[in-house]
Amino acid sequence: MTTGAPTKIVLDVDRVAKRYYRNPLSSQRQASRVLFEAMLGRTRENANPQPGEITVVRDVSFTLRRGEAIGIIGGNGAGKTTMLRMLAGHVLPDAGAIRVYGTTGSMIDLTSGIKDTMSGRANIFLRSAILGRRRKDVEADLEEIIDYTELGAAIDAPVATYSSGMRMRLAFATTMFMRPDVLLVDEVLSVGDFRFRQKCLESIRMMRENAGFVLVSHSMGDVSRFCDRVLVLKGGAVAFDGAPDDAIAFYYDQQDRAAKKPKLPAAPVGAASGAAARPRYGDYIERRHLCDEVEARWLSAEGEALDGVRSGDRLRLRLSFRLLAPVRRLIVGVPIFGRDGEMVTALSSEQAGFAATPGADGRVEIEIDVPELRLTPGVYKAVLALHDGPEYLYRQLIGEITVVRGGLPKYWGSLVTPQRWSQTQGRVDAPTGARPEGAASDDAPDETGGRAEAGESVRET
Amino acid sequence: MGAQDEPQAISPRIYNQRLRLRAPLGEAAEYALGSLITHRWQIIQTFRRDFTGLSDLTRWGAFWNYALPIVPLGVYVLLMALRLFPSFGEVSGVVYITMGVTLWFLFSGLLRSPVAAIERDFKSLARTDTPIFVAIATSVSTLFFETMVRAIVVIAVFIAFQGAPSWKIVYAPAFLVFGALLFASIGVILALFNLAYRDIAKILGVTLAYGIFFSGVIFPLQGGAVMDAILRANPFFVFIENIRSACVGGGIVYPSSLATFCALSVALSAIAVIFAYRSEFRLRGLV
Repeated sequence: MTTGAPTKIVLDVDRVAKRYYRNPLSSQRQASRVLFEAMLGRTRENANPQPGEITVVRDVSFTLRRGEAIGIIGGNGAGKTTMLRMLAGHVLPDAGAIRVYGTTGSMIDLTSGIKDTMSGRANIFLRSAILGRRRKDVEADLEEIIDYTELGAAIDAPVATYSSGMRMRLAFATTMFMRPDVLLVDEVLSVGDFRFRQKCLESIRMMRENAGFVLVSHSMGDVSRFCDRVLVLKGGAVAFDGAPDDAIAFYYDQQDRAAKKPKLPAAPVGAASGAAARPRYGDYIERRHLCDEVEARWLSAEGEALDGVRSGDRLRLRLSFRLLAPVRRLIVGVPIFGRDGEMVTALSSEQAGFAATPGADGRVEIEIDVPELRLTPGVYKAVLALHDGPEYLYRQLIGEITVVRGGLPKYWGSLVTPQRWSQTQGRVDAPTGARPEGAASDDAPDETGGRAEAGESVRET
Repeated sequence: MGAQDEPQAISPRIYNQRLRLRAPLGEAAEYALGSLITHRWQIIQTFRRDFTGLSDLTRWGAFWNYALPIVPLGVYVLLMALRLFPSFGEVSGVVYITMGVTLWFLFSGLLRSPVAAIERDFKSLARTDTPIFVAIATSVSTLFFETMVRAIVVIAVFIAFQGAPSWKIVYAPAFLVFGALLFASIGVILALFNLAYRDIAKILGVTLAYGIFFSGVIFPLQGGAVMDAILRANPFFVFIENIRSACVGGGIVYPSSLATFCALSVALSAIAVIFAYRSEFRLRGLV
């Protein structure tokens, strides 16, 4: 996170708009107009779109301060990359103005400024020159840049032989050492191995102390972790501007609405409960000739429908469906996904050793009881998967589970797992006020049940 | 905004529709020169890439970089040899043609290269934020190298067939510079208009294919009033003929045309720099 309070403005975006052209002829007509404008020194500012023009960014305004990170999210074609290109000065806005106070470093396109036939070392100079760095400054940083890339001997090999991850290392290292006042990053951090990605993220974190940072990403995890503020673009306009978690929730809600998939007959939990057919949570299957009348309802401990559940509370899921064909081995699974589409955990009849048997009419009603929900606060998506052995009968989203802070201690990650700590060697002290990372914070209810035995100190949660 | 939200006390770069719209020559020229200095490493590296790329994987390597530019000279010299080296006035046939072909390649290259480079690379220029002047300079770097190789051949041929040059050769560099400026400027302007009117590159190709025969490159041109008017209005002919004439001690050919083209080269180079500077950002994202 940011270590200091955001201070001076480094980027001021004022009611910016950008139009593109539907076909080459339209763009050539526009190019002709632009050339004559350049000759005459006049322009058609803020004019309405002409036939053949589409507005890809409209009326976007925001400011970025040194030390602040802004995320831009939105669906494909929402105008994110165009916005970033305008911020980088690659293309001019058709209306409004962008003011940049300082230098800009952009990582919008990994291939830009990289010559395949030249070595990685030569490309460091080339890309640095494109970014406006002087050769002697690059020479001074060269060894550090090469060390940072971790390319080793490959630094003298042609870039054509590099993998996309190696290219990213080269591009990132070159841009990072430029130490810009505004760093613009478009999705490129998704390339590369986990360890180098962490290194990049750490570098960005350090750079953020002295620079403003704009991140365009589809990785909601990165956006949530990195950004102080997030803009959701929709149709080129800012549909939401606010805190990362709220923006991400808004974005998912918009996605669900956009999918326009009819809701399941079930009554799932959460405000945004549309079962959108998105591949983020795996493939969706609905074989109505095998299974229908599916209902899923999240309930509180008291059996009441709920909008949200406190972390650590009891949770019940009531399922009912009708099987239209005989099944030999019915398996019921409820995988639960985090924001990034990563499966966090699952409720499984197979794991629980539970075998459901259909009634005479094929109807099955099941209730799953989770005595203590160990998910940490956040919005989760649940999928209901019905199998006959390995064969899917049904697999659809059954809505969201909104988990709010509850009785569990301070959390890291998505799950709080029961744990027992013991010291088997050295001095045995009672736990003090100094807490290691991962221990409960002062404002969280103390759920720890420490007990000391002879020769060992034990903490449990 | 509170005090801490105030912008820094530095002048911001402002991107809007008025950016560079009425930029004067001084600003444009400073930017052009500055971008060439800042990006000189990029220009050199790209030239090196093209240079080594030509001879990559060949057994004779860099030999080809030097041999290929003089092949066209050899072809025309061979044609002349078949006619037993006639002299055109005071000029040896071999000198006439090697000098004419070298200057033709230089001047027509300065016209073609910006058009080809901008047409080919404009989209990537927008992505890399590479100034348009850098792309143009990069595109003509190979042309300059080839011209230097050819110039060495021309000097050798001149000494062998023509002897010592006249003192009037001191005029030749000035004519060369004015000619190069004129054709490069026209090339830049055409390159930009070619983004809107793609026929320009085609028309240019056709014009140059026939134009070589009306420019006094391979053989002298003489004729009636029509031919005289064509030659007088043809900057290729005016510059090539005057450079050649200066080397052998001849008089100035079409002095009024030469003066006009020299003045035009200064005016057009200023227009080209301003025009490229003003339209560079506006064209990005369009083509």
